[in-house]
Amino acid sequence: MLFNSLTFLVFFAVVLFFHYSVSSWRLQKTILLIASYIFYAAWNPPFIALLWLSTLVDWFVAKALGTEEAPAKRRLLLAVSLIVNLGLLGFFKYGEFLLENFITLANFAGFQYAPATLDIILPVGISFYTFQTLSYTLDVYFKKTPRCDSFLDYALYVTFFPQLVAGPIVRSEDFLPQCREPKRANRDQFGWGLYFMTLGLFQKVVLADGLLSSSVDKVFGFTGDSIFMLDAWLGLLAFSGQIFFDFSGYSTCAIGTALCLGFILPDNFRSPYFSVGFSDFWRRWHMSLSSWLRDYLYIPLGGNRVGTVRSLFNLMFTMFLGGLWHGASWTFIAWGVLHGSYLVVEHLLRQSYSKLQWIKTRAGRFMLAGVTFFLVNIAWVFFRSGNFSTAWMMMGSLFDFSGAGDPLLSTLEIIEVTLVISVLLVSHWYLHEKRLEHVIQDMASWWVVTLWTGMVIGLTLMQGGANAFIYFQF
Amino acid sequence: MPSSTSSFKTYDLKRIYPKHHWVALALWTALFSSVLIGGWELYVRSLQYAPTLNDSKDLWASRRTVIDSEPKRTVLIGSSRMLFDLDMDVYEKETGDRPVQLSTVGTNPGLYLEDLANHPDYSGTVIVGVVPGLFFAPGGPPVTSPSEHLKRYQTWSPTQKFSHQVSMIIEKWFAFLNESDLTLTQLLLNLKLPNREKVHGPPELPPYFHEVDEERQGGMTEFAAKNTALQKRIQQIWIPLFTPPPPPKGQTQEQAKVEFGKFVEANLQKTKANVDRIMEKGGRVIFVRLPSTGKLREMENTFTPREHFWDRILKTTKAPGIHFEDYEALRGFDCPEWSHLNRQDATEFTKRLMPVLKELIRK
Repeated sequence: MLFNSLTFLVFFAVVLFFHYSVSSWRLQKTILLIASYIFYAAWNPPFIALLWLSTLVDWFVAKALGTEEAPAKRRLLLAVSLIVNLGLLGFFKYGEFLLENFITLANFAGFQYAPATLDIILPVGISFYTFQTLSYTLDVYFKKTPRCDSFLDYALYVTFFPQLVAGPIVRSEDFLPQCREPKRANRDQFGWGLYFMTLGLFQKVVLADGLLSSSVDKVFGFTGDSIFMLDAWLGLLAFSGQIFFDFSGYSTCAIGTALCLGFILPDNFRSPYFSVGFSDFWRRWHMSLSSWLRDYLYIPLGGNRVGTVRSLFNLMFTMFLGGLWHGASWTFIAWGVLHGSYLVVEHLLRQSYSKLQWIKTRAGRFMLAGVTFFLVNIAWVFFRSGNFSTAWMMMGSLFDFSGAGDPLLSTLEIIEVTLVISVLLVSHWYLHEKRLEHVIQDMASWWVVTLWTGMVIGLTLMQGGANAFIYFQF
Repeated sequence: MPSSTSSFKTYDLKRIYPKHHWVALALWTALFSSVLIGGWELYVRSLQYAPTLNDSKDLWASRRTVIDSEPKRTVLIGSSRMLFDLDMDVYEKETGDRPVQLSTVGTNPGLYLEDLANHPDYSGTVIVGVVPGLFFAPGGPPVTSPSEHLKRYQTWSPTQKFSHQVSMIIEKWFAFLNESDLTLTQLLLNLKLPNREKVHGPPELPPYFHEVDEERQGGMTEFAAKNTALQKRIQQIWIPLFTPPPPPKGQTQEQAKVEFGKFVEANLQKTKANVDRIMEKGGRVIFVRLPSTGKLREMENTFTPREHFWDRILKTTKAPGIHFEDYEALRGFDCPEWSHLNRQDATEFTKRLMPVLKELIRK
């Protein structure tokens, strides 16, 4: 079910009614759990079986880990969880990719191999809930958190509908304690939740889909030899904006929805396009994924405690897998490797530039933020291009100063992209060290109402075609 | 990916709620939004917009599902002329069979014919409206639109079905929910800002002049049927839309002509294969050429002459066909904007068409 659909409006109204009509906390959680299954099944009912399987396997594994002390048996239990979860993820997400590459390799080696195509449908949200259940089992295995005693709480943690299909990826230590005490949003929390939902929908429907997507599709869908440089850059910037507004919009909706139900979810984005360096960027972009990769992959690999070369390898390997997490394609891997390289270079340069005083000045920070944003955009080329030929065509067009190439964007699209990206960058600069909540708090009430009304009118006029969120495909 | 392993959390769970009276703010927002939306609704009604269903992919999918449960039903496929000009009430009265309307505006019906040919149980009558310029369109929106409609039907999720039901309720109340004319995207396009040389915006499409009901019976609005200024505006929009595009980049006019000839032949063979498959299952296919008038008819005669297109369809497929110019009773109808009949004429046209059609169905 999409947040930007009429079905969700009706569904959420019904959920709120039942959630606040009953007084038993256990019953409230049961209602939320059932609602979450309905939310998921509304997309493709059979795939709910995978969600149940993942839930049950990790429940029983964690239960056994809670009592088992023998290291060998604990490792075996962890292996069961990893095999089932990563096996499902591997089959549904990477099955075709692996087969395609195997065929290519076989053909390259002179073996003609042409198996039937698999036509596997990717179950929505599988990457998100797999990481969530895995983090629970890993936490119990490493004895960072005790196993959960309540199956209801645990199932709700895995399935909680606001963040089920596209995050934020929530840790059990953050969610399960919230299930212990009854949750009812007070008026301010509820109102702020509604404001957040409106803001998230506005980002998705008006900014990402309405004002940016057509420019992105035109530029990345171009099949000719070269695009006029201005158009190539505007198309790329439009994608930077589109992916941010799309994904941040989803997270904002999820946080707002949870707030209305009395739950708190972590932030997933914090003004990432004014990041000063790549470590900073990954503290601000998809924060729940980057911290997951850090805690469950980078640190177990040894992190930065194993010597420079090994720690840089760990960094690169983590980002390689981070790229692969986004999709079964070499272009996603290229995106991950590029970000890994950025982090490695930053790490190597840190010793030198940390001594430079001008870097700490406002102008220096602006310059570093500009370089970071530029390189983040270069990486987006690979993320958005469906194949390397498009990516190379884009790279060629971005740096073709000869004035050749086809102009693609209409005057209206140029204005839309320029305006939206300018506002995006200024807002990220302004919110770099601030929280949105503080900015809203300092605003006069009439300004808040004006902005809120503007967003509602924008949503009404855009009418939204209920387009799926980009991150659903991951 | 933060590169430090020092103990930190990149997020915290504390949430701050800005100190405002949020209930009051929400109520003021609801009030102002309602007033502004109400004003917008009154304004668009003053421009003669009326509440009508959007002819969406969901509405199409809802009709397509009928075929699965009733595979002997008559199906209408084609473009907007079939949507406007064939009165389903008259058809039902004459044959006892209520057709399923699957025609879509500005599209090549080839993919719909293929879909019915591939349907394992379908054995009804398919009436195919032919507008040669669209029937032989090699690509672009006339081809992508049917494939998008089919994809929606094939992947129609429970949530999309429910959203469609809710949409139909509210679209019957509010005129401003007109997806083709009154979305923010379309309103911005209406600014018609001049573009750089070599940059072409989307082609201008006719403004609101038709409505559909839940069964997708289409029809020209009363306002469009009477307002000559609107009719003239739409006529001017048809001219570029029905003018063949320049040859693709890197091809001469002659090369493009040869390529198009090959495409036409391939399309005819594909159509024949689909017709044959439907007939093998006990169904039948009847092609229909519906009226057009004025300069548009002249353009069609010039760019898609009957002998090269319509006659070849019938000859290749060996399926029966009705060309409006071949029957005295079907000639002489006036299309106000050159391409479609108004509602009264559509009913009268269908009444006159039925004897011919019934004759072919009986054969």
